[in-house]
Amino acid sequence: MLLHLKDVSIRFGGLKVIENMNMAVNSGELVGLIGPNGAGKTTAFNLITGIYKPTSGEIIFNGEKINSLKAYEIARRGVIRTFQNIRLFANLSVLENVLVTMHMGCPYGLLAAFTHGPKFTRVERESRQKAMELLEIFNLQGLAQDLAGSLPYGIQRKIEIVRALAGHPKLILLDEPAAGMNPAETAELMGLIRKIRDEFNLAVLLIEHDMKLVMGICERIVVLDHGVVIAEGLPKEIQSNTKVIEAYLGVEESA
Amino acid sequence: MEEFIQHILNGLNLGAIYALIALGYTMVYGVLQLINFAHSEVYMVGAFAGYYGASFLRLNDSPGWTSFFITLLITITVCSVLGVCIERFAYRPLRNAPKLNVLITAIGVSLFLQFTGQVVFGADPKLFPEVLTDRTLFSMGAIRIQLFDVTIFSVALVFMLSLNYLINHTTIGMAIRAASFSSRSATLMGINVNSVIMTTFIVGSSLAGVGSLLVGLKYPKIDPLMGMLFGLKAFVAAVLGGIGNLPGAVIGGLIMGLSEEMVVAYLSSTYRDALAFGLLIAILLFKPSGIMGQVRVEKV
Amino acid sequence: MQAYRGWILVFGLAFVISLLSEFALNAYLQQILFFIAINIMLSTSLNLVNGFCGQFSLGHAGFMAVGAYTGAVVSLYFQPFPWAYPIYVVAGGIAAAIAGFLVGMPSLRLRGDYLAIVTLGFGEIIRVILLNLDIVGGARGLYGIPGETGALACFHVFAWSGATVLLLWRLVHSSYGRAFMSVREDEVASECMGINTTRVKVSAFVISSFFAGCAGALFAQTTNSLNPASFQFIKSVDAVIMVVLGGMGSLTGSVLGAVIVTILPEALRPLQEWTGVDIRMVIYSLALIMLMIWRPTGLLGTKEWTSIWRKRAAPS
Repeated sequence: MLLHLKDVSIRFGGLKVIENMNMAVNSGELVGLIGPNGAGKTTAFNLITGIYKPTSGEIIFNGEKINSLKAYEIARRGVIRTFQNIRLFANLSVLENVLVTMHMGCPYGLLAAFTHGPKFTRVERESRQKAMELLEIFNLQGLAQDLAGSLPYGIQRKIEIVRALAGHPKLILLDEPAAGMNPAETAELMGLIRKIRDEFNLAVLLIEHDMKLVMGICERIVVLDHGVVIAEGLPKEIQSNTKVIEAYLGVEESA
Repeated sequence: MEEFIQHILNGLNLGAIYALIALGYTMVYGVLQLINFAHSEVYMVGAFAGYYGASFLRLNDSPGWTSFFITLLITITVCSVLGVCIERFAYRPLRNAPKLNVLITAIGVSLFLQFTGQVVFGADPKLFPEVLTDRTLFSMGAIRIQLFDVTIFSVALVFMLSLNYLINHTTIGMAIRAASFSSRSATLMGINVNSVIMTTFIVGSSLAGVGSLLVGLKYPKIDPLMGMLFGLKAFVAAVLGGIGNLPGAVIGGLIMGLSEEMVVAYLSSTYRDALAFGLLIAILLFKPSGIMGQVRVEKV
Repeated sequence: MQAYRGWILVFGLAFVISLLSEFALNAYLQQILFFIAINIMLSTSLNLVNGFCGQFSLGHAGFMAVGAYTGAVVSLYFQPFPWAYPIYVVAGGIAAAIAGFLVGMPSLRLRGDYLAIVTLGFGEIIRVILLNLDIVGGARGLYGIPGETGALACFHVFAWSGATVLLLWRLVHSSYGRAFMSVREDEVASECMGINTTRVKVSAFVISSFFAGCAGALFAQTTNSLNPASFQFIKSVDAVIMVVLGGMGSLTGSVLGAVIVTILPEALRPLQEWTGVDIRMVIYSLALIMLMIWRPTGLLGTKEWTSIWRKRAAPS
């Protein structure tokens, strides 16, 4: 188990947003987290990445309890995410956006930043190369110098994924990566997600509303409704699960 | 002992005035998430409005409650108008700009008013006209309760209670509370956020106007730069109580007034202003959300 | 190699400027030149915090004062060899950096506008403390501070000024610079990408304070006397205007802003004498408001002078 949520709950004031959530993600697994709007999916992401702290329960990553760690510490341990509402560094170029995540692994210190010696030049060159390679996977290398904030929505979503990848995550959290994409783009995205999972040996946990994508690539699905896990299993099982159908469509009224 | 009680009374009085100004800061911060640096200058202009108004109407020739209330009307009106103008012309164009830009504009407005004040009013301090005559109402040993002190405290109390009624028992107050929670949701609920913001500025600036008159009574020396330090302390008071929290602003103001009075009385007046800074650092170190504040959870 | 080119440029420019100053300018203009150099150090260092890191510091004058008085006091009591001026500048810088750490740590932990108020208060407190510290002259001021204004001193000041710009330029064009800017753009996202945002903000603040302190020490050497009145809130506002006018996020802009803000009051002096009041502050404050409403990016936005070359060259 790479990521393990044990009886995790969080409440804001009197509102219980997530209650006794149990979930696991194994290394290299592709898991989907679905549920109606307001179910608490993004809150779960915020808990895992350290933006919120759970009021009870344990979040264990790679054998370490990460409840009390700060968000950047969790990122450095290999959990990196994208955001539901795109949070790119708008006034930086696409390339610079990707390079930011590489800062945590930067081999040179402040002194080298001031002296711009040979080590600095070499590291900068190598970083840019690596960043460009990542961008090439998503066919974004042509936009490297463009301001991230000036690009179309769908492309920004892809840039966020590349930015997350740049941090060498062991687990990548994708929050609605296909939002606003047409079927062709979604199909392309499905291929890309599978590709990065295979190539980088990542675990992927994704939140999505697009069922074609979810059923298409997820190996396992967890369903959240009103902060509670109501079902978990293979895509086929979830599709025919009555509780899941009820959560999304409501209960059929007796005639 | 008696001296101590006198200091407590003085501190509460000063605190009541700080509370009035702090309320203005906290209301605007609640609705706009903006530190309205110009608020201290609105307060200053109020004092000068009172000065010029009362002098023009020769109110100091007939001090008394009528003169007092006429001057109060003048300061409140001038401050409200100024507050609305500032919001309309300096802040509203930047409603969707990054926070930093609005902060810089606020500083700009504050400085502009300070220096225009120096040019228009003259940099020399002036003496606020005596629209009310002070006298001792009650004395027991070293404790003396002056008419001014009672006036200040009661006027401040009346306005704070009125504000409480406005915020908690009227529709417009509910709108203000809604807007300070989430202006986007408030708009979706049909609330005209622009008029809510304007109302917030009118109310906050009016309170500054009240405060400026009360200060003019008790500490009659006024000058165009009087706003800055006083405003800074009032803002610290607002932060102390929990920025955005109205009862917090009152509590913060009272604490600020009391501690300032105690420091001057028992330590040294040199460090009076350093106190505010010290309190600010202390609260930021130990409880940044302030005494009454709750940590605002940012939606990610 | 490559890294030396920057230093050659800095010292070369400083040399040329000091020659020009010595032979082509009168004493009045020479002093303005000194102030331009010092103001460049102030504006570029403040830009690191305000422009690149997106925080709002209103207390730059306070750090300048710490550096000025520290440098002055050290130079009065400790003279290891003639022309030890660079040592005093470093001393001033270090003292200011320490102050920056003490002020920055509590305030930058928090997300929000607290830094503005804290730095504003800090600037005032420093001034009040200096006013009451009789060892450094208090309100009367400190006099007899060692410092020259000849060609060598001009070289010294511009070498420091150029060094500041060079070092900050390099910092900004490194991974650390990108970290600063990511905090400005979106602090939450930055944190989630593994950036220790508190440490980044404090680093920017400490580095910025260091150079402000150096500028202060040089100021003391230039004027040979110090008075707390030189470090009022207005001085911090001066620095903010230099940064905002030039463009937050552009070092070239800060240099330009510093030059304009140094020269303008001198150019406006006749007007000031005519009206009898400090009309420039009215103009400054109005300029700030109008800039924010109509041209918040300032003169250069985030562009540097190298952008002009880059437009022709192929993307890196």
